[in-house]
Amino acid sequence: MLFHSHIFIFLFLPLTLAGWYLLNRYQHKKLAQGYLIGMSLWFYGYFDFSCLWIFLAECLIGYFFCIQVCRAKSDLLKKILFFSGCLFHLGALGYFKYTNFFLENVNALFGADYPFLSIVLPVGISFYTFQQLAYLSDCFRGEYEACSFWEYLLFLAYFPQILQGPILLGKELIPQFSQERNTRFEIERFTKGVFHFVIGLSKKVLLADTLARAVDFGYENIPLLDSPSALFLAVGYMLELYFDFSGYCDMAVGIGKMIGIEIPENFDAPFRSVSVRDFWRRWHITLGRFFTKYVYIPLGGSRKGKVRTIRNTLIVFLLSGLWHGASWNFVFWGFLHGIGVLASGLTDSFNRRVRQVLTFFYVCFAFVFFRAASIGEGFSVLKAVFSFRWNGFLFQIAESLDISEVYVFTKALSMKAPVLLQWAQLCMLILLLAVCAVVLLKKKTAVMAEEMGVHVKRGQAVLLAVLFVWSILSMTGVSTFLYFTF
Amino acid sequence: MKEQFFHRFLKRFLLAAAALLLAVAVLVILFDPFYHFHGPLFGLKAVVTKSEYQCIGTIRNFSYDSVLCGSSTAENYNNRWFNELFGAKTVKAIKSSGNAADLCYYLQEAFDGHEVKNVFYSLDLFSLEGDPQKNFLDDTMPLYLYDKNPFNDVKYLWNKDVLFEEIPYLLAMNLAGDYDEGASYNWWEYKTFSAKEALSHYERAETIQPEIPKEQYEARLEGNLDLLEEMVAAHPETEFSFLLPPYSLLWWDNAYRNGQAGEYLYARRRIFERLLPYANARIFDFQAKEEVVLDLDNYMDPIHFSQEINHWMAVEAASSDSAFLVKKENAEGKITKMEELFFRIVSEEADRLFESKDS
Repeated sequence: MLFHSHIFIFLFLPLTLAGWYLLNRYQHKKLAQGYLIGMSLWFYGYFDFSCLWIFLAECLIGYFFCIQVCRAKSDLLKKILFFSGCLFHLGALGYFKYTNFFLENVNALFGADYPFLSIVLPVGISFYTFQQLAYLSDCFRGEYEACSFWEYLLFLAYFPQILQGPILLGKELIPQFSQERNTRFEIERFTKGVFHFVIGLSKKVLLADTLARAVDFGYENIPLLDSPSALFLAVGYMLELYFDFSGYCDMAVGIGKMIGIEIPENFDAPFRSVSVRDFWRRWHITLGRFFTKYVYIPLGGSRKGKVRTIRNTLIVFLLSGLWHGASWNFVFWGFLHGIGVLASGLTDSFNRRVRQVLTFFYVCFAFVFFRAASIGEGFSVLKAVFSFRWNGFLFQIAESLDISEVYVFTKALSMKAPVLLQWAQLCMLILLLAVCAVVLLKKKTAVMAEEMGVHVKRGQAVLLAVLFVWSILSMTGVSTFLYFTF
Repeated sequence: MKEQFFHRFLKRFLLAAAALLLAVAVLVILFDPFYHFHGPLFGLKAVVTKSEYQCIGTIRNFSYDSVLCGSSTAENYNNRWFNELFGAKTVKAIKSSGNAADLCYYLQEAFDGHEVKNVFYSLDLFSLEGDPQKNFLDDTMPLYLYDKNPFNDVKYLWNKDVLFEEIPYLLAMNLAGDYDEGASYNWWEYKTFSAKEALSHYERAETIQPEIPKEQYEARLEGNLDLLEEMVAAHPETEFSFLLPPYSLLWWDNAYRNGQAGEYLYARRRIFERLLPYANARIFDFQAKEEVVLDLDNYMDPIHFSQEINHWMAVEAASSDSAFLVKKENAEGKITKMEELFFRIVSEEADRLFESKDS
């Protein structure tokens, strides 16, 4: 199920909140937890029920390893269990996500012809695998006493985070399940949750999805790109991804607040970063935290000389790339970020604004490889950026935005002054980018939510309602069915 | 104090959101541009341009006694011609590239809610190739308009495109005054019909594929004809007129080169054999009309002809002594005539055309 769907907003969420608070109000704490687990499993299995069984099996086996690691008396046994657990989780992730990538490379390297396997990819597997690895690792380090299976299951299945993170640690979530104050309805926390959710929803539906139309159109027509359109593609995709992912995370944080079991922020104004290293402290924070704690530091971090630091940094970012997708362009994207992080110190002497601009464009260009279907396609986009060519393709990109809110205006213009139409569409594109810039320059959602009630603004509730309804309306459209596809 | 603020804020937010959602829903229900809840609002013309979204609503909620159904080759018919020629009140049921199962789904919906006097069925040969067990209702379609689940109507009630595009378009077309209600789903005025245009949409295969064996298509063909036959047999009170539209020589040349010509010629024979026995079924065969088929100026691509051809077919279908009416006694002659025309196309006309084009 998706947060930005009618069934989630009008049925699932109200039902979950009502059941959760009612059961807690009448002191059925265990039942309330069970209810939350049940609803989370429904949420997870909504699209593909078969994924649910895989998820449950992984949870069960993962829990077994955690318990055994916690209970193991000897260090050797602990180690054996820990490494077996890691092997199991990475093996499952490898099988479901990377088998065909592996076969593809074997075929390419050895001229073999192994057929691809039809393997279902469980949604959110990358996220819940990392959460399980983190938990197992923390058990191994003796940071936790083992929790109950139901707490473990809720920790992994908790629906605000199961599909797209953030990647949580057991200590962040599990203690909240039993805290009395979290099970009580608190109007302030709840209202801030609603605020967070609506802002996240509108970021996703109004900004990311609108940008996506133009970006997708551009990527479908790479040979036609000129400099401005390719530049738009690089910047537009970066913005789309940010509003999409951070919008999702804002919604997740908001839902967490509504329920009372809160989850941490995953973004911290990443476009204000002064270096790529700084960027990764602000972008997908919980992933960076995972790699730092469970990969980078165990490898020696930056404590063992420059060469080891370079090696460790590159390993982390290559793995991060591979984690994002089973394709070489993701690995290359990770490599570029690794290089960016290592080179971060080079711009230290520059003015802050200059560093921000340089970082922004570096990550925009690096993320081209994240969106492109292949490394070659990514280079085609970058080549077009630096071709310093203008063929007017930006007009077509602007047209592909197809913003229905201005339909009457564009239709009238197309009849009365057709020559002005493409300029009007270009203005819409620029306006959209300007709106994105304004949103980026404004305070973060979390800060705005915290300021609610401190700085009372008139009409804020109504404004939020307008944003909510506008987002609801934008969740469904009318498609154009191709006329001549006989 | 702080708690009071949040109480007030949440209350205001919920009330404002509910009021706005209600207002939008009322607006959509009132104007109902997809005719999902009711027919055209009193005094307003029916503006029908998006078959996937509007067909089902118009079939369920319009007042009519005749159905004109078919694929894109039927879209350029004007309902008004049938109303005038047959004294009918016609609604169009269109599915682009629709198979027999798709069109029978629409017809069944029409029969379920209306007394249908006439069915004008544009019978495309390729529509008998599809899976007879499967219609077009899949996830790519706006299923919320097709099923009878009131809960997923929210996708229609709270739909940005409906609010900002469809309702204004409906009102604009009504205000413009000259909107022709009979021209539902028409597209001819946006297209060019000429030999040059038709040829530009045809890529002639270099090689000629062997004929597809009958076993490969026969079961599907008969399954699709079963659907049509069952529909005709189940509604003896309804007059069915099956119109076989004329495809250009390019279409036949393509069928020949793809190895499908035998299948299509056989389909024609089976249509006649299976539908002619019914007293309430008439078949009009326009496919062997040389003046149309060989003159590419009638077409915009190998298959789609101009509105004049649609009009001509409608007039012929209304004529009791039309030369295009297939009867038991002339069926074999019509089959032979088409086969002769086909052989002429593939052995002379097409080659001549492409030789002159190349030179």
